[in-house]
This record gives sequence, C-alpha cells and structure tokens, in this order.
Amino acid sequence: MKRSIVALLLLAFALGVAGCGGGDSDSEKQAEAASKEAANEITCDGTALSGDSGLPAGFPKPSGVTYVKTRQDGPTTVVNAYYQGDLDGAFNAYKDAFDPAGYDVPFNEKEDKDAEVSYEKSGGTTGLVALKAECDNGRISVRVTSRSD
Amino acid sequence: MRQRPHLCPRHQPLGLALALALCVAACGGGAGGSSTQSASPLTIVVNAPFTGAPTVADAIANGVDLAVQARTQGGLLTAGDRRYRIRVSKLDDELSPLQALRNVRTAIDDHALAVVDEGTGVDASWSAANAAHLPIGITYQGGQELVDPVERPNVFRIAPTDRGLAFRLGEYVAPKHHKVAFLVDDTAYGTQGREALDKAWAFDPKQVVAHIVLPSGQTDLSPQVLRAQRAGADALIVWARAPAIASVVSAARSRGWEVPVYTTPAGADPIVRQQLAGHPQWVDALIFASGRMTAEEGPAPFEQFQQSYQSAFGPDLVGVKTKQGSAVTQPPEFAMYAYDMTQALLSALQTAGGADDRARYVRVLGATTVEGANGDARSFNRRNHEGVIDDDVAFARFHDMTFAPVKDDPLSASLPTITQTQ
Repeated sequence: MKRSIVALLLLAFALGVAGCGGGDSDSEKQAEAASKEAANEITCDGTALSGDSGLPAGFPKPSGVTYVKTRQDGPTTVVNAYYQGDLDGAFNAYKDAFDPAGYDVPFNEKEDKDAEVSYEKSGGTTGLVALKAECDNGRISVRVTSRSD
Repeated sequence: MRQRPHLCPRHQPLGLALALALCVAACGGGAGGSSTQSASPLTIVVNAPFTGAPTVADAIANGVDLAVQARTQGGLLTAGDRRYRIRVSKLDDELSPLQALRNVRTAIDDHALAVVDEGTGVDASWSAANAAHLPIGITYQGGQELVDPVERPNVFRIAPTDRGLAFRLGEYVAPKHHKVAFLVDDTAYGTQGREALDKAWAFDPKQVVAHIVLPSGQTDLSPQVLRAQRAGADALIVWARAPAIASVVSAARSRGWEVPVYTTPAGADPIVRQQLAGHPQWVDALIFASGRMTAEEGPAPFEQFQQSYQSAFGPDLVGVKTKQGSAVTQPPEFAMYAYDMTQALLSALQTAGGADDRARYVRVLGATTVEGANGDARSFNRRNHEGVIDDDVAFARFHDMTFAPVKDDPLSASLPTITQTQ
C-alpha cells in the first residue's frame, strides 16, 4: 500500500515537473523576450499617448512619430515612441527638425541599424533621440531623453 | 561606411612595434640623409598624476602610446609634405594644479603638438595653452566648466562628463531611494562633482538629506559616514578619489550599515578593491557609473582593443583575486579614451597638412571625427568638444571583485560583461 502511494506520488511529481517545465519554457522565452525588449526599450507599436509627453514646449515631433509612453526617471524625462518609416527617414526627420525649433545638434551618428541625434538648447536642456531599426512592421523605435539644468 | 584605420594589422605587441621602430630608425641611418633623418620630432605630452593617481595616469599614457603605435609607422607619420617622428612625453602633475600648469608651460616651450590631460589644473593652464595654439585633450575629469567650445576653443574631452554622470545617477538612484547623502572629497574632482550632483537633484532637493565633505588624506571617514547615517540617508553617493571611496565603504560596512553606495568611475579604480581586499564582501554591491565600454555595434571592437592593449602592455592587474583564485584584471576604459583622443590629434595633424600652422591645427581638430576603439564615433565640431554623450553613461555592480552591468537600467542591461579575469 505504502509503495503504491509512493509510486503515485512520484508519478504525480514527475508529471507536474514535466508540465511545469514545458510551461516555463514558453513563459521563460516570453519573459526573456520581454526583458530584452525592456532592456533596449524597443517600441514598435502601442496606443498614442493622450496626455502631455513631458518634453519641453516646442520640442520637435516630426511627422510620422507617435509617442506611446512617457515617464520621469529622477531628473530626466524619457519618452518611448515609434516612427512610421525607415531609419534614414527618422534620422533625417529629427536632424532637420531641431534647428527650426531652436535647438543645436552637437552630435549625430547613423549606423546600419541604429542612429542617434543629440540636441541642446541654451538654458541647459539637453538630451538624445535614439533610433533603432528593430521593428518588423515598417517602423523605427524612438527613445527620447530630456534633461534640464 | 565608417572605417577603422586604427585597428589595422599594425596593432601588434609592443615588442614587434619596437622592433619595427628600431628597424625603421636603422634603415634611415643607413640611407644617410634619408626621409627618416628629415623627420621632425613632434611631442604629445601626457599630463597626468603618475604619483598621485598612478592607475589613472598609466592608463592614459598607455592609451596614448598604443594610438601612436597604431597610427604611425614605427613612430613616423606623414602629414602634408612633412614627416614627423611622434614622441610621447609623460609629465607628472602630482595632482597639483600648479604643477599641471608648469607641465603645460613645458609643453608650450617644447612646441608640443598637444597635451593629453587627466584634467587637473586645466582651469589654470588652458589660457596659456590657447595663446600658444596648443590643444588640451582631457581624458578623465568631467567637470562641466572645463570644456567650452566658445570660451576655451583649445580644450577637448573624451571622457564621461560630470553632468552626464550626475544626471544618470539621478535617473538610476532617485526612483529607488528617497533620502540620499552626497559625500564628496575636497579635491577639484569632488568639488566639480558636487556641483553636478546639485544640478541633477534640483528636481527634488529634499531627497538630499546631507552634503558631506571628505577631507583628502583622512583614512578614517567614520565620522562623515556616521553623519550621513544620522541624517537618515538610505543611499550614499560618493564622488571622490578612489582611496576616499574605499574608506567610505569600509566605514559603513564596519559599522554593519549595509547602505547602498553609488559612485563614479573612480569606484572601479583598482585602489578601491586593493584597500578592501581584506573584506571582499564589502566591495559587493558597490555600484559605479561610467561610460559604456562597448558600442551599439557590439563588444567585438572593444574586445579587439583590449587584446591589443594587453598584447602591448600586459594586463592591468588589479592586485586582487576572485574566490576561485583567478587574478582580476582592469578593462582599459580610460586607456580607450586616451587612445581615441590621440587618434583625433593625429588625424587632425594629417588633415591640417602638418604642424607648421598651429592655429589652423586647433581649428581642424575642432572639426574632427574619428571612430573610437569601441566603434563609437568621437566627433568634435564648433558647438561640441565632448566625445562622450550623457546617454552613454551606464552602471555596473561589483561581485566577487569583478563588475558587471546592472540589469535594472535599460542601457546597462543591454551591455555585455567585459572579461576581467586571467
């Protein structure tokens, strides 16, 4: 009797472990993907932000850019967005937009799959627009930081 | 498409480079009045604290040496119709602004091409250097006022700025802790850091429950740490030279206070781990901010640079071991900045067509872009003399005497861990 109970318990445990293992594999993959996405802050879709982005008034928002999320990390505003188009389009759109808005672009760099446009304005506002071509839906991930002295 | 002219096959061990240099010199002598003999000597001065902060100074000097090896043919470089023999002169600033100024004056008298500088004394030296059209390239200190493209057209920097470090610390620390104490030392490094921290925390100054100055040379900082504890701090931000950082950690942990300690690139200085080697667990959880060592394109370029560095100079041993007994090595982060700065200096020399017109040389340097050792572009222009942008500051945490990027910061979490053991 005892042996039967032990055997049943072992079987149940084995099945449970197997079941959990299979489930964890998928969920682990999902979690890993989500973690990777969060780490890189890739934004390929999402509902347009309805409220204030937190960026300075008059901050350039090129056509095709949709703000999705905003948050305040201590002194810095971080906005996640996407751009409808390719990396060249996003890079040029931001580069061209800063000067008319009264910002300087002290540094910009474009590589194969990512690009950066840093900006500054007299008075101490600086930040970076980081663009990543990691979406498979014809969009470019946009991450904007804004820091003010 | 960016090129990588500096990571060419010439990037060989120091012995090979020396052999090549000797060969070139010997051939020149044999040719009697050949082009080698007509090469004009041109010096790059390294102005750094070789006695006051030797790990920092040696890293800078090695970075300069390696760049000269990589970009020249045995020290010879052609620019326009001139040939130059590039020399590196190492002058100790003793962490003294006055001595740093003397060193820059020596560089002026010697008609040096440029000064690669740790940063000490630049407030005093830039003006005389500017009058002589001598560029100063800072590769360690990040004080905001040190670099100003308009007021100080001859001063450039490739190193994380204090502003970038302070704001990134604010972004990382403020959401976690709401009572922080700033502990800064009384050197120019600490004073500039205090200014940067105050600006970064201007969004909520009430979070800062104590501003505490750490006297230089004082080994027991228990009174200062006790003040922070009594002020109710739940995190310490230490902006100081390496010995003071170690003393703060020691004072806190020996009291049994497991308060998180955040610091600047100085936290990765081997001296911190050497001083705490008797209590390796005290080093654990120390978090420091510094420039990302690897670029978006991945770790390969930095690893290649690290390999070249170690081939030339051997690994920079920290002087401590992991629990498994592996010797810990220091990644060449600040050597990389000095390397990149020297690449920019030599690139500008060639673009300017030589060093005869020094005013032109400084202007050309101010419009120079090179690909850094890690693949990132280092770019100067009339509005920007900074080679490291604020957003490229990342965080790393110590464990078992080595450090790895933290996982709770988006940028840091995307970075690989650099090999630090032998």
